[in-house]
Amino acid sequence: MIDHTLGAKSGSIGVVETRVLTVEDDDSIRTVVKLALEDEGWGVLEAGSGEDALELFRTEGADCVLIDIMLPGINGFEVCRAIRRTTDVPIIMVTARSDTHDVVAGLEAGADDYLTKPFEPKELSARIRALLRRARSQNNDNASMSFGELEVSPDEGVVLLRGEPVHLTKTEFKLLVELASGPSKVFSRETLLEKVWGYDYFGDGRLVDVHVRRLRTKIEPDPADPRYVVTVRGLGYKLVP
Amino acid sequence: MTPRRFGLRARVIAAFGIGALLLSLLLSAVTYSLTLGNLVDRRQSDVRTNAIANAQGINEEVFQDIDRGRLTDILRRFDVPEGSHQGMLHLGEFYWTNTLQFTDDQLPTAFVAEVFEGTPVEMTFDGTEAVYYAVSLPLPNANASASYVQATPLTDVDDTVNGLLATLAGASAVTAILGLGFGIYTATRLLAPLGEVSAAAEQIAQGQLSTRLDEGRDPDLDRLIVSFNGMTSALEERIMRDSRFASDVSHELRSPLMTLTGSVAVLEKRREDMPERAQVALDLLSADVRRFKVLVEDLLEISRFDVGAVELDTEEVLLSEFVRRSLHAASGGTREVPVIHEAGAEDLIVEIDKRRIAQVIRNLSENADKYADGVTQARIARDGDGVRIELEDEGPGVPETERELIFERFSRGSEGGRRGTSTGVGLGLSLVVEHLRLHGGKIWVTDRVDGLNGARFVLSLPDVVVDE
Repeated sequence: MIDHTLGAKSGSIGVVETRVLTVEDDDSIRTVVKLALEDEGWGVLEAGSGEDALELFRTEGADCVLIDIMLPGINGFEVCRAIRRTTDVPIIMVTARSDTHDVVAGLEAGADDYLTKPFEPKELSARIRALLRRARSQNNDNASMSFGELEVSPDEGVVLLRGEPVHLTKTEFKLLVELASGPSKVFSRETLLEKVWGYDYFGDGRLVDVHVRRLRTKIEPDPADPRYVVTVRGLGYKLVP
Repeated sequence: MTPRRFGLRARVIAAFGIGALLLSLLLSAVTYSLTLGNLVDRRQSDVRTNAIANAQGINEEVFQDIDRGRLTDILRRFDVPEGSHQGMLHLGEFYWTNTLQFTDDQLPTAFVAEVFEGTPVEMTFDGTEAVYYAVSLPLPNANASASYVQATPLTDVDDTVNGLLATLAGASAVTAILGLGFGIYTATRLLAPLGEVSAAAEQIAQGQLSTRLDEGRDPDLDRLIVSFNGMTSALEERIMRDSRFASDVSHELRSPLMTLTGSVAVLEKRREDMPERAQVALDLLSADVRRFKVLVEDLLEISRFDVGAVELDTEEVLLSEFVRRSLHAASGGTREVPVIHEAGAEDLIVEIDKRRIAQVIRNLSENADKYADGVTQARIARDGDGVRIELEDEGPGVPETERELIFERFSRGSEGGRRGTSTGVGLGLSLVVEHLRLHGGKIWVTDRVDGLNGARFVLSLPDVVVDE
C-alpha cells in the first residue's frame, strides 16, 4: 500500500515519471504486468512485438526495458542487442526457462538482469529499482582512480583507457567502480551481486560472470588473459592496480 | 521351454571337446585294428615263408632212419626269426632244439593232433609268455609221419602295437584338448556379440538411452543388432516424448501462471477495499496460485532430469555459511537454525551447484515444516573428500516402512495431509534425490541419534571438498 501511495505521489507531483517499456506478445501478461507495474508506481509503455518495441523506444525512449525473449518476428535477444547498440538503458530479460543457455544468451545480448516467468510483480519492481538506483548512484565522492592505463572517475561516470573514453553500460560501470573501491581486494560473487544488483546470497552468479566477461572485452588489452579484472579461483574477482 | 542347466557357452565348449574326443577315438580304433591286422599278417607270412623254406631245406638233408642227434644238428643250421623255437616230430616223438625253453606241452592239443596227422598246419595261440605263431610242415624224406615244427612268438608285433596304442591314446587326448580349446575360442567369438548386446542393454537400463550397437559387421548378427537398435530407438523416443510432454506442459503453464500471479498481486493491493467474502476468496486464490507455481517449477525441474538436459553449475562456497543461509532463506527469513560442526568441518569449502543444494535444503526444510515443527538442528561432518549434512526435527519421525517411499514422486507418506490444506504435492523430496544424484550424492532418513523423537535426514555429498 505504501509503495502504491508513493508511486501515485511521484507521478502526481510532476517528478518526471520513470517509464518502463514492456515488450511482451501475450496480451494478458502484458496487461497484467502494466497494471502491476503501475501499482508499484512506474509508468508503462507497451509493445506487442520486437518491431513495435524498437519503434516505440526510438520515438518515446524509456528508463528501463523489460523484454520477453520469446517474441514472434525479431526475438528478444535481437531487440536487446538493437537497443544496446544505441543506449545503456537498463534491460531486464524475461525468460520462460532458467536454463544456462537462455540466461547466458540474454546477458550476452546486453541484458543487465533477468527474471523467469512467472515472477512476482514485487520482484520485478525491486529489480527495476535496483538497476535504476545503480544507474543514478554514480555521484559518490570517490576521486578518480588509476589502474595502469585505466582511469576510473566515479564522479563523472567516465572510464578512460589510454586517455580514450570507454563506453560501458551502467551495470558494467557500477561493477568496475565497485571493484575499484578496493584495489587488489577480492570481491566474492555474492558481494558483487549484492552491491551491484541488490541480490541476496542466493543470487545467480552467472550475472557477475557474464558482466565481468563483457567488461573485459571493453577494457582489457587481451580479454583471454586479463590484466585488470582478474579471477581469483574459488573466491571471486579483483581489480589489479 | 525348460531352462537348461548349462549355459550356451558351456554347451558349445563341451560339444567341441566331446566331439573331438569321440572322433579321435574312432579314428584311433580304426587305425589300431587296421595296423594290427596288417602287422600280424605280415609277420605271419614272413614266418610262414621262413618255415616253409626251412622245412624244404631240412627235408633235403634228412633220410629214412636218421637218428635223433643228427636231426637236432640239422635243425640248428637253419636260421629262424628271433625267439623262435624249432622242433620235430619223428617216430611219434617230439624233439626240440631247446627243451628248457619250449616243449610240445606248450602247443595247443588241436595243433599237436594235426601234426600227428602229418598235415601242414599253422595256428596263432596264447602261450604262457607271449602270443605264438606255430607252423608245422611234414618231412616226407624222413619218415611217413615226420614233421617240422616252428613256433615264433609275436612279441615284437605286440611291442609295436603297444607303442601305437600309446601314441594313438596320446593323439586322442591332444585332439580332445585342441577341440576343447577350439570350442572355447568359438564360443567366445560366437558369444562376443551377445556380450556386447548385454553390455549395451545394461547401459540403457542405467539411463544412457543413446547407446547403439554398430551395424554391418556380420550379416548373421545384423538382424539382432538392427532389431536391438530399433527397440532402443523406440524406447528412447518414447521416454523423451513423455519427458518432453511434461516439460512442454510446464512451459505452457508458465504464461497463464504469469497472468494469474500478476492479477493476484494487483488484487492483493486492493484487498482492504474488498468485501470480507471477496477477501477470503482472494486469500484462497493467492495461496493456491503459489502452490500451483511451485508444482509447475518442480515438474519442470524434474522433467529436465528425465530428458537428461541437466548440468551442474558448480561454484565454491563456505559450507557452514551456505547451510546456515539456506536454512534461513528456507524459513522465509524468519528463523535461524543452529548449525553444529563436527571436528574438522568448521571451515570446509565445497564445490557444489549452489542453486540445487539450496533447493535441496529448502525442500527438506519445508518438509520438516509440514510434518514436524521445522528443522531444529543442522550438523555438518566431513566424510573423506565429501561431506555429510544432517537435518533433524522434533516431529514424529518417519516410520521405517516409509523411509524409501517418501522419496518417490507424488508420495507423501501416511501422515501426509494432516496439517491443514497447505500440503505439498510430493515432488519436493524426489527432486532432492535427483539434485543429489547429479552431484553423485544421496540422501536417507533415520531416527535421531540421541534417541529423541524426530527424523534425521542425512545428505551425503562425495568428493566436493576443496582442499586449499
